[in-house]
Amino acid sequence: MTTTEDIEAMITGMAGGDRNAFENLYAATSAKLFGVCLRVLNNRAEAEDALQDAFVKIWRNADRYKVNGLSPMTWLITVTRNLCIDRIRARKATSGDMDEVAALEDSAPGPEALAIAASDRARIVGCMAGLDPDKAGAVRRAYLEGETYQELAEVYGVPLNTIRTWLRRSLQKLRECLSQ
Amino acid sequence: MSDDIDPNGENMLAAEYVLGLLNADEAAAFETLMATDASARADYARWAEDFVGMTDDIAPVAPPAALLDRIRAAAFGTAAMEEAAPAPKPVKPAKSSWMERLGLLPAAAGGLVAAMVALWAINLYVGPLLDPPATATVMLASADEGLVVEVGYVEDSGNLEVTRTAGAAPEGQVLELWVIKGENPPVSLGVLPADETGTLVVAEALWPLLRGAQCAISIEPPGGSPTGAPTGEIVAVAPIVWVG
Repeated sequence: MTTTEDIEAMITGMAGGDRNAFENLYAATSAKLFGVCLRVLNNRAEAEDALQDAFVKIWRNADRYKVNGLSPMTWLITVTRNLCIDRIRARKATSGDMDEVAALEDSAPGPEALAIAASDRARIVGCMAGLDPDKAGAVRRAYLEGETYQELAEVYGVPLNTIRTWLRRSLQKLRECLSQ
Repeated sequence: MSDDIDPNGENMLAAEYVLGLLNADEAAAFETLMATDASARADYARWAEDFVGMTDDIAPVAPPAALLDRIRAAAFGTAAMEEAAPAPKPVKPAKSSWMERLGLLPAAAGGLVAAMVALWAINLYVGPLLDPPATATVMLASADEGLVVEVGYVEDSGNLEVTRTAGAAPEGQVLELWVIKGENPPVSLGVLPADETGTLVVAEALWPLLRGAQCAISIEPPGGSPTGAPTGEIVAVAPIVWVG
């Protein structure tokens, strides 16, 4: 069982240039991070490229991890997710074709097989369930599919000049629920 | 509870930033805020922790075995190491380096730590989305911190934004900014403006020098060094820290 402390120690090792720590971190986390890449990008070749970018970035930035205040898995997943979102947006910018992404349905919950101690992160799931389905869907689309306000306005048929207020109110509700 | 909701939702910037909903200008403004505002950083971290829960139900998938070799090559390859070098490990100059010849020690200014933490904090926000250009910062301070100069740079812009937050040139003299790459002699980036803030325009031929290099400030006669190399005292040296 790989614990949060183990992951943290690996990142600290990497910050000091320890390649074994990198190998250990890859062994412990690459499957989860690859799963995230596949979920966000829905394309195997792109997911492999994104995973590569993510581990290179994690290796180079390991020394910056400590000051960020994030738990280690959150940092790793956030780096990976952001690189995937950048790819999605670059893809849209070149092809102008958003149907591919818009057509994606949220994947059904799968088994959480990763042997890493999880925090109580699952509370977001409960709090999202308390939002209107459209609004929870919009938050999910932004986070997991990189959709912009413009795209969300189109998907939900809300004018662009009100989508932001619409979503911010939901975020505020979410924060209230998460803070309880 | 919904009665309490702030209709403008202005405190939702951190959430929008994490989601990637801010445009490039808004994201940059929020990063600037985070550099100085601990509560903005805390908001960011809280939302990042909460939202990452949306990945909990994503099943792990083992990547293909060949990918690890590719990643090793990208992470540890020669080119990669060169690029990675400047940020992580401040290198003690080799015995024969020009800095030691000038009798300089690597400066580790204590009071700068807070500022550096703020700057590094930005880095760990994993950068804004939308693939922005890389940016660089240099925090230059004299040993007693009587002189502090911050330099900001956006890749390929050619404009060094210079802010002098403490101290000034001695009466009748000027401060000159230099870039030093490896063992190469210093190359002038120009004389710092008399004002506390200003912009130095860097010739395009010098842009590549700014990667993996250090900056230094020397005291020079009006108009700058007459020889093209530092002639007066070198008062500060610091690495150029790149983000992205």
